[in-house]
Amino acid sequence: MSKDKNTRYTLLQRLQSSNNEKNWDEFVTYYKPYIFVIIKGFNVGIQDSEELMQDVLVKIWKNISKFDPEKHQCRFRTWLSTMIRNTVFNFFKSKSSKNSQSNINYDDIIGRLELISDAEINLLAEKEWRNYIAKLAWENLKENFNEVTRNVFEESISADIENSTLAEKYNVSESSVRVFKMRVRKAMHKEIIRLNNELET
Amino acid sequence: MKESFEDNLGGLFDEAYDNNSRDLTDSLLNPKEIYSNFSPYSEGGLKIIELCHNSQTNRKVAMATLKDYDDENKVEVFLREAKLNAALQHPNIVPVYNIGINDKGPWFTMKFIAGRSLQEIIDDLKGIQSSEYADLNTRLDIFLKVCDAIAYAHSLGVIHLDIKPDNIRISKYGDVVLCDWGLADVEATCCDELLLEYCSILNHDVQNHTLFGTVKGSPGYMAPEQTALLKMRKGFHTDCFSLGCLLYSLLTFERPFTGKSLEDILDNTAKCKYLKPSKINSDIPTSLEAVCIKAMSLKPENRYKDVEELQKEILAYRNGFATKAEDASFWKAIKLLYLRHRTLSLVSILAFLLLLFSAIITFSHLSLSQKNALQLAEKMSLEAEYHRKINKDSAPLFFERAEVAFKTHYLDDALNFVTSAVELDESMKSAWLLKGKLHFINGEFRETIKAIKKAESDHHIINLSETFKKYQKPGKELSVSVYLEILDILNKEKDYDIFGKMVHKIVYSNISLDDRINFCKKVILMRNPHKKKRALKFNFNKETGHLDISGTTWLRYCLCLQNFPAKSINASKTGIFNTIGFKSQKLTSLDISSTNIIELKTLENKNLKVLKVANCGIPNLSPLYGSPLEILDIRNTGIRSLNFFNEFKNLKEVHVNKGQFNSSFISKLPPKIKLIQH
Repeated sequence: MSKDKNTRYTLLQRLQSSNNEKNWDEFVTYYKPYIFVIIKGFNVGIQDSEELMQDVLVKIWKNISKFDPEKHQCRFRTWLSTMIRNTVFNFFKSKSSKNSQSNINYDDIIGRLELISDAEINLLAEKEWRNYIAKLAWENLKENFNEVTRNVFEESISADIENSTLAEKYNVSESSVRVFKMRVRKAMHKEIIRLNNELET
Repeated sequence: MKESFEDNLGGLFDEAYDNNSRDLTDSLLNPKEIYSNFSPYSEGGLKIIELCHNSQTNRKVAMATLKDYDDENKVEVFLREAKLNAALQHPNIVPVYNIGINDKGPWFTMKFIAGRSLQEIIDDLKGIQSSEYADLNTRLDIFLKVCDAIAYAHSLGVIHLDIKPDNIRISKYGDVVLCDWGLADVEATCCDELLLEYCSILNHDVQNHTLFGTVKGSPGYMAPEQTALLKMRKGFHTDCFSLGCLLYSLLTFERPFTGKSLEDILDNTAKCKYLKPSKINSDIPTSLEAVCIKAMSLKPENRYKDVEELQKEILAYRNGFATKAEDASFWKAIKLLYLRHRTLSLVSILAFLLLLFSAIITFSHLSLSQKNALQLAEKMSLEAEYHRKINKDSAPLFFERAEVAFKTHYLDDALNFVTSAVELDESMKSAWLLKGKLHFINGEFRETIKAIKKAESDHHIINLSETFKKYQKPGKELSVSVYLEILDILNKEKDYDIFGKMVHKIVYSNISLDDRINFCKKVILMRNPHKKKRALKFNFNKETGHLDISGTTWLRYCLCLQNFPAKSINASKTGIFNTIGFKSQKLTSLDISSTNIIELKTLENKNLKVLKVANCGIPNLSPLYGSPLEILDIRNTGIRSLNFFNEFKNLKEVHVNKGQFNSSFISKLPPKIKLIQH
């Protein structure tokens, strides 16, 4: 992604303006994991998720140029999530009508999907977006830190662990633990803001 | 675990946007967002103070805003305060960081002092809560810092005019800052050039300030001239007064001026009526009370000239000197000197007390005789000191004087001289011998032995000393019986020299009357050998003081009678041949008729009223001239002239024998003298 840093256009803007293969590939690389998380968020099994992923991507490909944050009065991720929900809904609708031999209770899933409000979708979209961007940021930054710093940060994020415990575990001073954590956080804040700007707007 | 990691990692997303960690240039372009996270702090008459976060500098600051920002006058007053305060850069004055105007009116930011106001601290102390400020010296430190701030402001020509505990903020870490310069004024005559524009007379009349409150200043701490009840100029002296009030409340934890109503308080202030600090708490040091009272004088000319002067007084107190205001006494100064040099003083006082104590003990335990001995020792030591200074050659001189003293029976002096002599020249044997004799006479046998050995002599007293040294007890005189034993031996050995000196020593010592009578009898018998044993007549009437030894014709020597406590003596018809034996007696009557006495030169008894010298070969009475004689018996003497009567003013009765004087002499006698011719 660093190669695009110089351009003032974000990925979405570029995709909307010229729907070429290169931009699309980039979009898929970045958004596939997020879309996957959202699909899963609607309680879809892994096999169905793969199938749905293709449907969703096709729909984005067709409709991305039509997305206008001002017209839709929402963020791209909200628009995306709503679209995913609808796709999932339709997917299961057709499946259940086909009386699939699968023992999954589709009616149940459809029933629940119908109950999901826009607000809830928004919440899900937001939550997963946050996690997704942060995770992406961490994947990007990870390699810039040494192993101890990496481990200290990951452990401190996973659970509420005292600095002193971490210091003991990795055989560093407590102050180092604080500094490591602070450095990673600062870097993460920057990267998150950059990624968010890049991918969202 | 994995999920929680992802969820928690997502938290960083929010953090990234909350933390303002955008580029600094970005935030600087948007000044409206510099201050955020406002929280209310305090509210005054004109302004509101809020705490907020400055994202540019990333710190907490206090922001003052104007309540009524539509009033142009108030905006001006507000900004004047801000600029005036900003001009004052001193560690004990709250620093103004920035001044500005936004859509909500003017504002200025100040350093945020995380701590409490002095008023809160005083309230705590008043409620007897244990506090780090319970120590007076800690509070004086605060006071001195406030003085620093005011002294600095005065140096720029700025007068605070609202000094009170509420306006002093104190952090845990030593920050003491004076805030709220809202009432401050500038002394146009001497202020800094840059500050001239804030001078109240130039922009708006000082009365404008009063629009916002009934009085200028804070009741309870303001100076009399601030009450508007008095027509007096405000100036640096006004701050001096308020500093006095501040000191007052630091000492007493009370406001100096109180009252039931605001009018009461103002009235008390104008009259300078307040309770003396010592009336509130008697433990308050008088020096500080004096400083307080001086600072809080009604008339400005009676107050401290400037803050520095006031400060010096506090420093003087803190460093243990007397303050000028209290007009310290000598004892106070001594006390303070002691406090300043506690250790040194303690040592010297201890040493002094020890000396005093030992001196008292020494003196109180000394009896009179011991005191005399001490004086003698002192005299001796002085003499010895003197002698040591003159060289060894003077030893014979001392010995000579000792010998003279010995011969004339000045035995104590003799001992002193001879002791000096042997000290100067230890090889002087004759001196050692004399010293031995003197010690022997004093009954100091051990010293005698030592001295005689030094003299390399075989004088018989060394043997006597060996015999009698068992009777020598330290600090005790030998008993008369022991002396008599020794005298007996000396008499038999015919050592009349030492015998006589020893007798002399004893009769002049403090012995009892019975011992003395016994002693005299025995010595007379010893000294007057008689072949046939005849009884000695020695009758002493203790009541009348009359001694009768008459008729003892063999009695020749009676030196032992010296110092005898007789008032009258009848020694007629004895063998005595001089009057030396009557020496040192307080006689008024003496009968020495029919003795071998041929002259009266040795008769030293000057108080004789009755003298009988009949049948003695006395040629004249000239040695007695001037004495108070009343009765005289001069029968059968060599006196052939009655001219002596002129010399005896009290003479009443003269006994003569017929034909002793011719009638021409007798006719010349004054009628008051009765001449009896036998």
